[in-house]
Amino acid sequence: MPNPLLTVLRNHAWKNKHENVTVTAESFYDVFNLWADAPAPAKNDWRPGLQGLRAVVADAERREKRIRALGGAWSLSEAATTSEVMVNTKGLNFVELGFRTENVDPAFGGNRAALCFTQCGVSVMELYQFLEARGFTLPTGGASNGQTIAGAVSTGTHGAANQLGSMQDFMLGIHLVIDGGRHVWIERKSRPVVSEAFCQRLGAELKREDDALFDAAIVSFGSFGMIHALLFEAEPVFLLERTLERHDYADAKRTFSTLDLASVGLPDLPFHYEVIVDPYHTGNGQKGAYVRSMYKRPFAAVPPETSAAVSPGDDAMAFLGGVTNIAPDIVPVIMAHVLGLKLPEKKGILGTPGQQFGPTDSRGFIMSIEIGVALPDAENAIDAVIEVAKQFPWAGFPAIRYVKASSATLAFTHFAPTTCTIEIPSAGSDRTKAAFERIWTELHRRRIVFTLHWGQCLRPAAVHFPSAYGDRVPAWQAARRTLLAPAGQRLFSSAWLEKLGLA
Amino acid sequence: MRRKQSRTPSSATRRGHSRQRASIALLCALATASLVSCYHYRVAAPQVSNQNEPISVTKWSFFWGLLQEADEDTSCACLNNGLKETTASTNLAYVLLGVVTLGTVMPLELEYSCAKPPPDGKWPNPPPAAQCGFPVLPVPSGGAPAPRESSDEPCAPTAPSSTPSGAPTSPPVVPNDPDAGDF
Repeated sequence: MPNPLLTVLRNHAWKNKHENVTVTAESFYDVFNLWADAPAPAKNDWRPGLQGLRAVVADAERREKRIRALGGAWSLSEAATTSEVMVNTKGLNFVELGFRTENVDPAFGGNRAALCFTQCGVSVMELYQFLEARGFTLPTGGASNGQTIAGAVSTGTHGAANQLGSMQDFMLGIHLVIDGGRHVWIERKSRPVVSEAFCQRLGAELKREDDALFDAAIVSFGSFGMIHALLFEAEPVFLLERTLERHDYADAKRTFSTLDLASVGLPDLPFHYEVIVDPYHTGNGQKGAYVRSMYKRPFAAVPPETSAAVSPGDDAMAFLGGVTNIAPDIVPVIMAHVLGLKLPEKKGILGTPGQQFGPTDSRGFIMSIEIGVALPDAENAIDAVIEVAKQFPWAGFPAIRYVKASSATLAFTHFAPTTCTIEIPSAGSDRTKAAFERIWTELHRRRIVFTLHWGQCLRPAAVHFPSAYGDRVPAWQAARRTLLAPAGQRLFSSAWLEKLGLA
Repeated sequence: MRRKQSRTPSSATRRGHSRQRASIALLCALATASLVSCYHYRVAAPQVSNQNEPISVTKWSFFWGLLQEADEDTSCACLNNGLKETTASTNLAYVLLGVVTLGTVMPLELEYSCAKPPPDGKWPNPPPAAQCGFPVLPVPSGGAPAPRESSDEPCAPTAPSSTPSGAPTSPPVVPNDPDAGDF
């Protein structure tokens, strides 16, 4: 058998896309769907990539190093990092749509033509392009498309699909490379999809004894092994009709815990409902709430929107953070201008999900947290964020969305039936960091139970875990122990995981 | 008798203070901008994804461009693929260096990332391992799939088996046959 092609950098200094996480990794590998000593396969193929991951994992295990997989470098947390072995998986971008009958379990009740096997390194943008060219799309995605599918799913990325859930919630199978040279295909017992023949073709052990292992592994940020591939059922492509209107904050506030949208002029709950709040302009007549709605429409070909000729420079966010550190009084003026420019009112813009959730042009030093709360607590939690902003202005704003509760054990969107998510993208600065601390303290003061998105900035200590996750943490750890031997648990851990008390 | 000063500043004083604060903020802003910012110029293929993390190099040009560093060879880094994005950056120090040396020394920072073929594309043949120093790690035995056989035939032209409800009848761009692929 040929050897998989790998590249490696030693003592490589790495930083994430948003420049708030840096690490120097002893070994930084790139893996590809290529052989080192054989010609490139006739078309993109998954075999060399799987063998490459197995080789890198086995080598780390032999040398007693810890290993983390890296996707789109999109996470603002340290989920993807270790100072030992990091593996860039972006080169693994094989996708296949449609399964033959012999590869599907007879009990599978879905559409085998829509089953999509995707390698870990496929970006969400690539998936949209691939699927939408074939008359399908993702059931739901994140707000932008730079993440890899494995990174997005394993950190619990979500959009605003209030009837569907987060990205992990439409996944049906996960293929993990684990310790001891093994690789396993995990599914829910209650939702069998693939056949033994499929697992034999992949060379993987099938694990389908219960639902608990899948629910724990699907949001585990690389801690159950290295994700090689995922399986989901794609949805026939559709359009989303996007409207953005400005309303007074008081009108938007009435919707926060009720999802009764009459006060913002929406007849019913759309596929995507989002409110971006200018926390410094919440008075009557100030139109400080930017309400974005998207309704599902039948598919028709539509041209893509054109982008602006001039946009903020790469260092604009670092600059903004630096200025507001020194002169916080100017934050309200700046935020009003930034939001007004970035969020112009628009009505009835049609596009496929891939067109609506396109590339983000935000670059530079950005920090962001995302808070998850139960729907009844939403109004109080958003109020807490605005209260902090008024007392301690910083260059950031809350964006509020709603997601159906996730079945993943450690999903930060686990509040049933609906989780309200409050994302707070901000210019990177010490002041922003201090503001995040104040927000967490204020949420505690108000006795609001909250979670935090695993792919965004997290609290240095997991002090909110007991109330936020209850017995979910021990259940997740127990599932991890059933899959990995102690050496394997260490292999797929990191300082970040230990800091959170999850290792 | 001295008049007792009011604790509340007059509106003129307030205006003066706020002007002073605005001036300080502006000065701070300018100082911060000059320290943290660079000038960036980018060529990008927005619909293409990158296969690797960005690679940075500093290139030097001398004597008004009469002498310059060799081209950056990306064949090993990009495995013979093209580029997804290139960013050229300069900063205050580089600009000053150019001015002080009357243009005889002009550095520029380049950052690039490599493109990857789309999921239904084909990777080019990579450069020889010996040329690029690719490491070879043993693959664990067992549980390994055989290298791909010659099952690379194109998909048969069959329409997808389901379409969105109420969708117009315009044909999808690429037909998809669930029986034609690997699985």
